[in-house]
Parts: sequence; C-alpha cells; structure tokens
Amino acid sequence: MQRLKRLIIGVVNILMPIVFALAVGAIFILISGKNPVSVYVFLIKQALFSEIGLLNTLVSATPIIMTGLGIAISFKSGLYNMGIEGQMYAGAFFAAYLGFTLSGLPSVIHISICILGGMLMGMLYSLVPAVLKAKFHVDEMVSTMMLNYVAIIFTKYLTNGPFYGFTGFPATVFINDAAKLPRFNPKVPFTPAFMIAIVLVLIFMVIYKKTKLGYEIEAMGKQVYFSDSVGIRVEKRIIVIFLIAGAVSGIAGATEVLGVHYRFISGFSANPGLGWDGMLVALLASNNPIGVVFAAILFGALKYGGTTLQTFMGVSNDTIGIIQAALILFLSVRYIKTDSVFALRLESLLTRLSGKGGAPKEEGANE
Amino acid sequence: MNIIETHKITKMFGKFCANSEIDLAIRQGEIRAIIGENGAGKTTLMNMLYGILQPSSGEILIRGKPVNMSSPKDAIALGLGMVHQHFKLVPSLTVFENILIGAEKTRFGIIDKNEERKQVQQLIEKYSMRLDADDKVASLSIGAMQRVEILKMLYRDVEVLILDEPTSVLTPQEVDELIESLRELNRQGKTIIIITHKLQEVKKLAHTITVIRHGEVTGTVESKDCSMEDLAFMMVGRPVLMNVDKGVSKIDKQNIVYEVKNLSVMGQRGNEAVHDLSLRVHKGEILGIAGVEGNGQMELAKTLYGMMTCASGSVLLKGEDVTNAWPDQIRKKGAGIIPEDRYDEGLCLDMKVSQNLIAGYHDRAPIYKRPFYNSKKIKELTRYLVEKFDIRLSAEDPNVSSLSGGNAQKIIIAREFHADPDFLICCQPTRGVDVGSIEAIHKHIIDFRAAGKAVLLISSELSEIMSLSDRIVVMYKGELVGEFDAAGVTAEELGLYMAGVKRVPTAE
Amino acid sequence: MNNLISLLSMGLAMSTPLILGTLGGLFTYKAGVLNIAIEGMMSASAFSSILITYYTRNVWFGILAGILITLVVGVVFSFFSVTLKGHNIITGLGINYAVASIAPFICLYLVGNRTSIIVTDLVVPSNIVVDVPLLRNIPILSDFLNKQTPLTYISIGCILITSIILYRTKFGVYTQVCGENQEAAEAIGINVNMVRYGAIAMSALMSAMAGINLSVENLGMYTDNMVSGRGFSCVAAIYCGKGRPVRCVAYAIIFGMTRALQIKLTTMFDAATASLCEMLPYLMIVIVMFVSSLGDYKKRNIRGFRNG
Repeated sequence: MQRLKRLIIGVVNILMPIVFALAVGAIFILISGKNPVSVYVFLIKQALFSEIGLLNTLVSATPIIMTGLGIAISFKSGLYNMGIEGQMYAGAFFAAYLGFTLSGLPSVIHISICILGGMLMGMLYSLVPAVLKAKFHVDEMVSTMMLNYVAIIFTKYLTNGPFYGFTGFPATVFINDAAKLPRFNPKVPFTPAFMIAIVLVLIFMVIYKKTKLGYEIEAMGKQVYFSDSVGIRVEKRIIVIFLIAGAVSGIAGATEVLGVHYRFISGFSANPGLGWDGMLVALLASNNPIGVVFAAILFGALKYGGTTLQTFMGVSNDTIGIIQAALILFLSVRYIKTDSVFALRLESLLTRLSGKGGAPKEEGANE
Repeated sequence: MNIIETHKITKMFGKFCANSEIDLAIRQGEIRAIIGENGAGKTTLMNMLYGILQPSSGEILIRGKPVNMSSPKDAIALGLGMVHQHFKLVPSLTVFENILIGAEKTRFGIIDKNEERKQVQQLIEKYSMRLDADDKVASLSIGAMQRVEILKMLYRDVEVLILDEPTSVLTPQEVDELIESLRELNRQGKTIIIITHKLQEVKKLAHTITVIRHGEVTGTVESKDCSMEDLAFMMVGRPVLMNVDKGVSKIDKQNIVYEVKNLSVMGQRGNEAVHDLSLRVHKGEILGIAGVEGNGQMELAKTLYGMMTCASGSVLLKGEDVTNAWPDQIRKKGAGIIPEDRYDEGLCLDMKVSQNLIAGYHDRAPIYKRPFYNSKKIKELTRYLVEKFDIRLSAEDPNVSSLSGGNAQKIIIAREFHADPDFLICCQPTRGVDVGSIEAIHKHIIDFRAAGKAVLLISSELSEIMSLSDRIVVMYKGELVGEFDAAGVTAEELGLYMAGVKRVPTAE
Repeated sequence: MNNLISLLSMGLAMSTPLILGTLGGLFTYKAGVLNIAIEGMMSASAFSSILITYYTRNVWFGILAGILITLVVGVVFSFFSVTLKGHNIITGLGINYAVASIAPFICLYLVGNRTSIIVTDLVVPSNIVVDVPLLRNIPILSDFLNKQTPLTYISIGCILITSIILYRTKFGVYTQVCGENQEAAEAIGINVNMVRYGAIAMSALMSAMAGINLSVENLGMYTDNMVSGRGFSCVAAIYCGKGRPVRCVAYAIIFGMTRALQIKLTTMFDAATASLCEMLPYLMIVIVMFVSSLGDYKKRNIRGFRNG
C-alpha cells in the first residue's frame, strides 16, 4: 500500500513538470505561428518512430546519461558541482589528443587508452574545485562554473593555436581510425558508447545500494554535519565524489570524440551544453541512476527532434531550450509531499479500493 | 474576572490528537503554571492561545469575548505576549533593535536610532532589568537574551505574559532572578502563565497549577495545597522515582581511563572558550561537568569528540594520545560518543532507524564486509537493538523524524553501547526526553559504570549531574572552578560556583 | 602611466555592472535567498532594453521596458523560490537558462537573426559619457573618474543608498531578520514572503541597471551571451565579501578591473594568445575566492561542513 502510494506520488511529481513545461513550450510555438500539437507529434515521430530516429535519439542520450550520473552523484551528496561541462571538455580534448598522436595500436587498446585518458583528465580537472571545497570551503558552485568557462576558452585556444586542424574552423585534426568507436549502422553514430553508459549506470546503482560510499553519500546529502560527527570524513569524501563525477564526465567527452565527431571541435557541447542537460536529467530522475537513463532518452529525443524542427517545421530550435528551462523551474517544486492533504486522501482512497476488492494482502504488498 | 478562558478546545494533527477538549480559566493578575511532560501538549495549547495554531474545535475567550486569532499579531493586539523557549532574536542586531522589531521609529522613512535607544533605556529602567540597550544580541548571555524577549513583549504593553520553559537554560541564581522579575511584573498587574516541567520552580512561583497529560487536563490545583510528589504523579500517571539508585561505586583510582591535560580551545568570537582545563576520569567512575550553558562546555565537548580542534593541551584515552583525533578515530580507540545536539550531530532525521543505528560503526563486521553491506545482518541488528533498548517505532523501519525525542535518543544510546566502548563522552543525554525514557537512559549509564567503564557526563541539568555522578567539577567561563564529591555537595553550593561567585583552584 | 590610467578608467567602467549586480544581490543574500539568477536578470534587461529601443525608436522606452521586464523576471524567480519553495540554486539556474533560450527565440522571430540587435543609430555610446563639472579640473583623478557613463556614477551612489536601505530602514532591517531568524520575523507578524519578494525585486532592479549599462550605455547593441558570467562574478563577490556592502563592492571592482586588464592584454598579443587571455576574469574569480578563504582556513577550529 505504502509502496503504491509512493509510486503514484512519484509519477505525479515527475509528470506534472513535464506537462507544465510542454505547455510553456506550446505557448512559444503558438507565438511563432505554428500548431503545437502537430509540432510535438512531428517531434515524437522524428525521434522515436524510425530506426534512424530512435538510434539518433540514443546517440544524443548517451553523453547525457553520463553527465547526468556525474551531476546526480554530486547532488545526491549535497554538492553543487556544476563543473561537469568543463570536466567533459578536458576529457574530450585529451582523448582526441591521444587519438591522433598515438598510432600503430590495435583498435581495442587504442580506444581503451583514449577513454581512460579522457577519464583521467576529467578527474584531474575536477580535482581543482574538489580540493578548494574540501580543504578551503570555497563555494563549489561558483568555482566550477568559472572553471567551465576556463576549460571552454582554453580548448578553444588549443584548437585555434597549437592543435589547429586546418579545416577552416576551430577543431583538431581527425583521430586515427584505430581510435574510432565502431558504428553499428553506418548512417548513425550509434556506438558501444551507449553500452558503456549503461554499464556505468549499473555501477552507480551498486555504489548507491550496496557500498559504504553509497551510505556515506546518502548521509552527506541528507545531513552533512551529522556525517562528519559520526565519523564520515566528509573532507575526503568530497574529493572522491568530485573525482567520480569528473571520471564519468571525462568518459562522456571521450566517447563523444571517439564515436561522434572523430576529433575535438571547439564548443562541441553547444550552448547551454551537455553538462546542463545532465543537470536537468539528474533533477528529473531525482538522482536515481535508472531514472537518469529514461530522462536522458527523453532529452535525447527532444534534442535530436529539435535539430529537425527548424528545417521541417520552421520552429526555432530555441524552443527546445525554452522547454528545458521551464522544466528546470517546474522541477524545483515538490508538487505532492508524502504528508500532504492530497497524499492522505490518496492513501484513504487506496485503502477503500483495496477493501472493496477484498484483497487483504497488505503484508505482502509492503514487502 | 477571567482574562483567558478556553472552552473544550481540541487540536488535531492529522490523526494525532495533541489537545483534547481543554477547559482553562485564568484569572486576571494571577501566576498560573501549566505543567506536563515533554509531548503532553503544553506547547500546542499555548500556541493556540498565541494565535500560532488554530484550534480544530472549541473556543477561546479573552476578557469574556470569543476571539479568533490567526497570528501572533492578533494575540499581541489583544494584550497577550509570549516568550518562546527558543528565542526569536536576531543575533547581529542590538538589544534595542531587537526589542523594536516590527515597531521601528522612523523619520522620513529612516530609522531614528537615538529615539529607539532612549525608549528602550526607559523601559529597562522601569522594570529594573540588567541590560545594555546597545549590546549586540550575539554577545549576550542566555539569561540576558531572555530579558530582551520579555522586554520585547512589555514594550508592546501586553497584559498577559506567557513563558515557555523559561528556566531550562538558566543557572539556579538566574532562575531566582527571573522569579523575582516575574513577581515584580505580577505586582505591577501583569498576568503570568508559565509552562514548565520543573516542579520546584512551579511551587515557588505559581498561585495555581494546571497539569496536562496526553493532551488532557488532569487537574488544576492551588499551589499551596499540593506536594511535589502529588504533582509528579498527576504529570506522569504513576509514582515516579525522584532519585536514581546508583549502587555501590567501584572506582579504581589507579586506573585513569581518560585524561585531559591543559586544554585550551578558541571560541567563535576570538576569545578563549576553554582555558587550560585538566581533568581525569577513572575506571568505574562517572565524572560530571556542571555549569551554566555557554561557559565553554559546548566547545569542550566538541573538542573532546573531535568536531573542534584545540589550541593547546592534550587528551589521552587509555594512555593513547587522541588530541585532535577525528570522531571515527576516537570511536576506533574505544570511546563512545553521545553528542550535544541529538538531531544535528547524533542522528539524521531523514534516514531510516536502521541506517542511524549503524552510523559511525558502518564499516565494521558483521554488517559490512568489504566491499558490500550485508542487508540481512543490518536487519537483524536493528531488530535486536530496537527490542533490547525498547525503542518504540511506528512502522517496520521508519525515518528517525517520526520518532519522539526519547526514542530518538535511545537510538544513539543503543548504537554507542552496542559498540561496547570503555569510555563514554556523554553530553546532555536526556535533554527534551520524556520522564520514562530518562529513567531508562539513566539506568543504561549506571549499568555501564557498574561494568567497570568510565563516563564523562556534561549536562546543563544540575539534577542529572548530581544524581548520576561520582565526582562533580564545575565549569565557569572556560575553567574548572570547583571539584566535589557528589555525595557531599548541595545544589545551592554548586549554584554559587556555577554563577562564578565562589571558586577554588582544582586539585588536578 | 598612461596605460595605467586608461586601465583604471576602463576598469571602473567594467566594474559598473558588477557593482550594481553585487549590491542588488546583497538584498537577497541578507534575506536568506541565494540569487543565482542575477546572470539571467542582467541578460533579460540587456536584451529587452535594446529590443524595445529598436522597436519604439526611443531609448527611454527601452530603458523603462528593460527595468519592467527584469522585474517580471524577478517575480517569476520569487514565485518559484519563495511562494513554491523551490530550491534557490535550481530555480536560479532555471531562470538563467530560460532567459538564455527565450532571448534568441524572440530575437529570431522579431528581428530575423538569433544573436544581435544593433541600435547604434539611436544610441551613440561615446556621447553618453558625463563630463562632471568640478571633477574635470582635478588632474589625474579626472583622467579615470571623469567621463564615465551615468550608470557608473549611479552605481557608486548606490553603495551608499544600499547601505542606508539595508541598515536604516524598516525594509532593510526586516530583510536581515528574515535572513537570520525567520521565526523571529514570523513571531512579530512580518510577512517573510513579502520581504523576500521585495529583496528579489531590489536585486532585479539593480541587475536591470547593470544590463542596461552593458547593452545600451556601452555598446548600443545587444549580442547573444553578452553577460558572459558577470552575474556569477557578483555571486562570487558577495561570497568573498561575506555580505558586507563595501567589501563586496571591493571584490566586484577587483573582478571588473580584471576584465579591463584582459581587454588591454588582448590588444598586445596575437590573436591566439589573446584568446587565451579571455580565461583571466574567470580564473581570477577562482583565485580570489581561494585567497579570501585563506583567512578563515587559518582561523578555523571547527570541523565539519554545513548544508547549504
């Protein structure tokens, strides 16, 4: 019974913001003189109802799953690590660098080195705000945001200067073939990167559910001073959590380079960027790893669908950004709390329903 | 004439009935005490009289007229003022600014601080209170903050002054001063309602006493007609042991379990909160540290259990150096910690009982075996401890937020005793805990000592220190100013040391 | 010497939006609401003031619209964070994100391109500067203090005005009460939500002026992303200055000077190195936050972190 109640409340709490956000989006579509219903229908068709569309949606979702995991683990432990974007740039650039400098390696090894390199670079870059926060109590939200700018500007400099790829715009040269992730369908950059993302999701689930770190993350997120005083060394955990977030962000950047672009392109994450999408996804999933997958696929669909919106429907791509922004705002609100009037009514309704159905198997349902 | 009357007022929180059909009649000019255990519903009742809560049914009459108060503002307008247990003061503002919050004197929109200061100074003189209008509230003692709160209400010309647990944070001397002030106010015509669970003061001060248990009035009596035992019986519903049976002491003077040497700790305001403090706790001994809150006990406690660092000095546990050790290191070396602030340091309200029962010991076998937890073992442990320590739960494994203060504290007690330490740092073990749980917690501490362990007890509750300790030291302004054998000292004597009137250099 | 003076002069100009944003943010900081939305508020004002100028062909309408629309943004932020009790940081980021998407949407729809609106035919930035009568006669001082834009002088005046409002008016005192002890405010019948709405409105007003300074006064045009992290600089300045008006402004000026220095450096190097200099303002904030934390780090004898 309790479980069913929590499920219903959870679903309502997720659906309401989505509905509200789509409604806001609809207003803007109306402003641009189009029919919101047909735009949304077109978007869904494009993104989900064709093999190419679906695969492209998954391609868009892949990095968002990873950045989402990185933000989720930070948020879950009460850290406002907004630096996923910058850490991803660091990882992506280093992966590309390894991709075009190393040669003569077997493909599997070359790819592994690139991904590991990207991961390490992401971790390294996350270490800066981590130490500032853990040792010196420097606010991590501002420091990570600023470091995002630094990473974006620095990689722009690298692609314009020392690593200019001579293609007319800021990007490096292409990586070696051995470093490219294989595509399952030649028309779509759908690669094992998606599987890597799913494996990461599983690892995060195990961390949360079964390990000491998972327990400590929960404690820190819920009451950080309590955590310190019962002997969880929050100082050290902050660094560990930043490193984990940096690692997944680095991997996300690396797989984008190895699977999608085949080189590092300045500003490849676009504005507002994959790190931001990750934040939204983490919010939508309330930091749950499985939820992150579904939310990222929803976002992937929006993103991929959005790119076709301008060309086919004459609706600005910014509409997607507006829907996302509305979603953030509506997600910041808890619509139903477990002790609200609505929740109590729901409980009594459920009790009555189960009473009529003559199913007194409450013990079993309670687990 | 009755200034306040209530007719069958009831307050429901969901399915829980906090107050049930309460009838109250308070005469103009009397001092009324409302007593009851923690959780009996006293505060709910007062919050309804003060407009913070609205009754689910029943009516409130002020000066014979039914009223409907939707906020404290209404109550103040009707001449009712309340001094809350947790002061509603703004630390960075001055005394006069705090008194005038909401009633600022302005000229062309700019606050006239001189005028404000003058008015507050007059008020302080009228009621002869010890206060300086220009002091920042952050720098005041607890007693002085309370005086600011009282003045805040008097400034608004209230006729009825409601005080919620006013004495729980004061020294015996400060309590006397408060009682004197309240009597003076009463002579000047104010009606006073005092909510408390401390029977001695009630007997001293009140004309009439109303007892509440489980949200119902169990009786209203004249103060002079009843004994403390009668009142206790009415409050708890059964005879109460007013004293703890400590049993024989088996102190091993040769065996020093815990030793603090010349410890100094800096306070928040750049002062020295603890100054050159030394003490020893022997095997089989409970050492109590008495003192008025704010005399450095908090800093001392936090330093000893690893949440603050000291400026100088050292701490030894069983001969090993634990100076500035972290809480996990201290626990690993065999000390248990019952921290000062239960909900801030000891428990996580939003986590389950089982998760709280393993906190601090969450990396030890058998519940944890690298790299995974054994959830079956955690369940077993929870069931075992919940039963052994009689923790009353509303569901299988609820969040701690659903537990009463007493049951929440029992979780900490269970957790720390289960780890079987040799030494216990025990801070405010029964603050905000109901009488039944107090008895249980005291018994656990006494049993622990009987098993040959050592305890350092820090409590602002003098009666607790006196009934549990073998030896008592008094802390005043960061120093130990007296040391006593618990058997041979009176509360009055300790009170003089706590207030800083008397002091002797410690033997150690 | 000349270089130094022109750097100071430019630094003062670059500090103007930061001073305004920081002072506005102080109101919310004191009221217990962390305002990350300063960034979005500045953008909203920079965009809408130019847009309305473009349409009405009248700068004053543009300025008025910039302020009004930013106040509306403030109300939306208040509604989500105060009335609906959403998490400040999340709602603030949501506002920033929303402004960053809505501006190019409207721009594309009304003007025909996503990224810029130019009204230099109506506003000539170089004509806006004020030649202050007495100041212009003082040597050296006049070289960097004189001939700034009106909002630069207004921003300096705002330091005093903010201090007076915060410490000497009912609204300011209530703001502090709400931030420090919400229960104290409620006990005395202060409507905490109203005070917070007011504080956020003050912040919106000042951020609006900052945005107008950026687009109308300095450039006579709007370009996408032109606020580029200035709102966050203000948040950093408030953190570093621990909520004390003068200190916070001092940090804001440090950040403004750094931006000026970056622009100066840009002219001295080749394009690639110059683009590297763009990192300077952002790195500077991290470094300043680190350095300003060192004082506390040495003094701190309390262990443990606190939520929020």
